[in-house]
Amino acid sequence: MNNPGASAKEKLLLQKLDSAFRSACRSTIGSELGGLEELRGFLTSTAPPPTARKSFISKKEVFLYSPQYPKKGTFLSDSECPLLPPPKFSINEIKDIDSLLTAAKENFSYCGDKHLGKNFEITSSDGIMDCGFMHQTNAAYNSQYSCYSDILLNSKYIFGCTYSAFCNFMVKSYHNYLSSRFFQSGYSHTSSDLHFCWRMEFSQECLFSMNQVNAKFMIGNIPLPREEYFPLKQKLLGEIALEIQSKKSFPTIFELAGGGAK
Amino acid sequence: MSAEAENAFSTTARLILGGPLEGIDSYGPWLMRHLGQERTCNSFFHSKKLRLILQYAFMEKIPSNRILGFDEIKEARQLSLQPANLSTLKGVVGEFAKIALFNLDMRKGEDRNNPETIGVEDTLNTYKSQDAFNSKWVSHTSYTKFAEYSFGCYRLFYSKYCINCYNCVKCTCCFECDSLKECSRAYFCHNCENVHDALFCSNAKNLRYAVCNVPVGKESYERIKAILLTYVLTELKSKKSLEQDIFNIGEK
Repeated sequence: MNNPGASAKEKLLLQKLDSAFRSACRSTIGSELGGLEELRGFLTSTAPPPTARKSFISKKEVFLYSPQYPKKGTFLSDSECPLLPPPKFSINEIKDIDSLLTAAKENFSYCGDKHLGKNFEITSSDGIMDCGFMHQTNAAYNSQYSCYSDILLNSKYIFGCTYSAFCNFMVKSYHNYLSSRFFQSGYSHTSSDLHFCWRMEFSQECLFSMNQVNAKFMIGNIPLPREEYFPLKQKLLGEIALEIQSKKSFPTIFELAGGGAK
Repeated sequence: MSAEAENAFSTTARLILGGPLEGIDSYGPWLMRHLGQERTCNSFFHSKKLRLILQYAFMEKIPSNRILGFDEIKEARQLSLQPANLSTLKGVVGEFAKIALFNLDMRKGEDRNNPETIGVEDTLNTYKSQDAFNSKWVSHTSYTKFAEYSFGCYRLFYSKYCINCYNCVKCTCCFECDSLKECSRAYFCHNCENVHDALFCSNAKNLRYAVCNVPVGKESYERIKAILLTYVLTELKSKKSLEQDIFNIGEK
């Protein structure tokens, strides 16, 4: 938000995404946790560092969805593709595999910030197809409103997540499908309102629960009466929100399990 | 791997490369080259060997001694925290490790004949893959959706007959390609859309019979393609690997 190098367009997008993030937090945890930029470290703590190279045309950074791209090569951004010089290639020079590979190497260029299909308001993102309102998001298809995330399919309001397919309102969650309103949860499907949960199927309203099917109003794998669950949920999520608001961080589900940083 | 699955790999190779390739396991390292690192660990309860592809960065954060096999989920389900500890965050968090066991094998819908594959939905006849959804006859892949007869691919959607293709959508008969949309018979192509019968094209749209982004006509294209495929097939048959791939073909 306070990046002096950001263009006016990018600043406007970040404002929209910040608003979307606050909305996602209200839906998911019941309160705002802070701004997108101030919680950047928290949201990206389990993500790989972004991969970037310098464009040979503008010398600006271009973002790539994978670190597999070579360190040295010809790179450019999607918007610079019309500025590519014409290929230096003569069909008559291709006699054998060596001449073919030489011609390929001379003329091949890699593109960062790739946007295929129809997209709008995308910045610092690569591998985007038919998406809108994204910043530092990679490998997304048919999705909207996302930041610091990757591998999205038909999803909206995704922040700090990896792999969300047909999901909405997910914050710092991993590998989820057909679900809504998750916080620090993973490998779940057809579920909603899960916080610090893993491998849940067809479940709703659970905290700190693992490996359940058809679970409802559960904390620590213990099913509770509805009237007992909601006050406890509000109390526990309230404490978590307060800690994140003040410290700008909270242990990940992996760290709570005894893992995390390696 | 079953004879039918071997046949699927060989058929795909014949279609794309002009000749069959036998013994898919011998091509395993080449097919997995640009997928996540493979890790083996013991399952939590029964110490069974589990094979994972660490495709996503968060997977490295999961404690390797707390991973469940698919058949152990029911046991893990029985674990719970002490009811007395539920009323405070400190109490819940303090005891959470007791039930925090991670399974990475999501199964949904029908699945049939998917040996050494974890994460499936309505999928059949896969091998050594991860997250195969609505797919069939795929092997050594990570994250495919509606894919068929594809090998060594990552994030391949609505595509068929592809080998070593990454982040591609609606592609057919492609080899060593990255970030393609609606392409066919493309070899070593990157960031292309609606490109067909193409070699070494990058950042291109709406091309046919093209080499290095230059349309060359069908006759010249077929001649050059034959040079490439002869080399590729010879290398693969003798070395079970190919030095060139889509991520180093443009390396300077």
